Amino acid sequence: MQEIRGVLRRASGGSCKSLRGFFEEPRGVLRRDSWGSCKRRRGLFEEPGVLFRRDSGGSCKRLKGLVEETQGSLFPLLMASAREFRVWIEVTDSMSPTASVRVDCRRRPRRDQHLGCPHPRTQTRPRPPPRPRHVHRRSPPHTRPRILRPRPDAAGSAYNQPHVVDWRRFDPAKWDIVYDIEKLAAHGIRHWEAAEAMWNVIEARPNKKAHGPDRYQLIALTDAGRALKLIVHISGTRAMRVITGWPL
Amino acid sequence: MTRRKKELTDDEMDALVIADADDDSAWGEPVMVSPSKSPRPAWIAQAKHLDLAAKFFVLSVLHRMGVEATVTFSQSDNVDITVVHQSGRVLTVDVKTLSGSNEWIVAPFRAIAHHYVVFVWYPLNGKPTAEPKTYVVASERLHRFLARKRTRSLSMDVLAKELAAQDAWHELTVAPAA
Repeated sequence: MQEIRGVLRRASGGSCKSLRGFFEEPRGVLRRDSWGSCKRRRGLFEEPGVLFRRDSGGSCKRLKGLVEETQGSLFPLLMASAREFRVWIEVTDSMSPTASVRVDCRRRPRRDQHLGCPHPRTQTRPRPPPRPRHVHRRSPPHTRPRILRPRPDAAGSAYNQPHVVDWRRFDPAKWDIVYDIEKLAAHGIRHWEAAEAMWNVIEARPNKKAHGPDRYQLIALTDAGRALKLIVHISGTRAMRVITGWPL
Repeated sequence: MTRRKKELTDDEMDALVIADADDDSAWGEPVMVSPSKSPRPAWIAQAKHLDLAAKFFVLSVLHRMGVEATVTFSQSDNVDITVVHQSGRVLTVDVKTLSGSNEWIVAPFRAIAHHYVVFVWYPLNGKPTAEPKTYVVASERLHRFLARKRTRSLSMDVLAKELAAQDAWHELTVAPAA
């Protein structure tokens, strides 16, 4: 198993208690610190190449909220083994800011059987070739981690928070604006007129109703002086959809 | 047991917000946004100029046919050009510009007597000096045709085939006998 060189750190949702007793060691092996009693330290010992071990007296809940980070990349799985049973810690959503781990310590492995873990002890992960010195340390764009986008369907999650727009600094050139040509045309507005209005003085008002998060009413003038009322939906980071509009 | 509130889709939320458009109490305090100093995308100016080009193209054709025609700059009633015949008969023209695709997304228009719709289609990547294709149809006839078809977009090929609208300039020049 690959030696863990990273730091076990707590996800934002974890409690302080869950991390107590663990700290990082330069060689990447986690040990329990001295806050615990002797009994609690019993059974925990360092072994090179193994992340950590624990005995049967430890509580699985204490590991909740841990996210492993190794050289900048997140591994979805941690493995710990003990003499009597093996503990799996699976990060359910490693990309989420509120990542949580699922601990399963009930499985009792045999020596000749591995549990289907993606990273069993017997399987060694091939090391990447050494990076040439002249290559920039940052990954090329296609290998960078996926940037999380807000998910509109994830009700109740952290992504579902309303997008706050700083209208005083609004610059339409920096926004990705989509115009519903059909609905605008139904009210006699051409999409370029709506776009013109975006570049002029705007009066923005947020929708106060519960059913209208991220919806705003914009009142603006075209270059020809035609007053328009536009309803827009802020659907992401600097992404706007002009739902409809009316001439005033 | 708690009942989970049904989550609205984007379209349902849009519909509710659109219904709030005239309800002043549904909207918060206004924030004034100063005009942007960033350059505008080129397509805005191109679309605007294409609209003007289409209007003046129709006007130029009408003048070449010896018809007294004038561009109107008012925004009301979808009237872009007025045509006055010697008999005193007045026609109004609504110019619709199509760029790229020759599909017209059906938008409301006036369907009354003596009101005509002229579609001016500029193919994509055409030369600026190339002549666009035009389709002339009386508004009432177009209204009946759309009511029968019940379509949200109308291809100019269909218009040309079924209503013989391509280059039907005679509709704007020939005065009725009586």
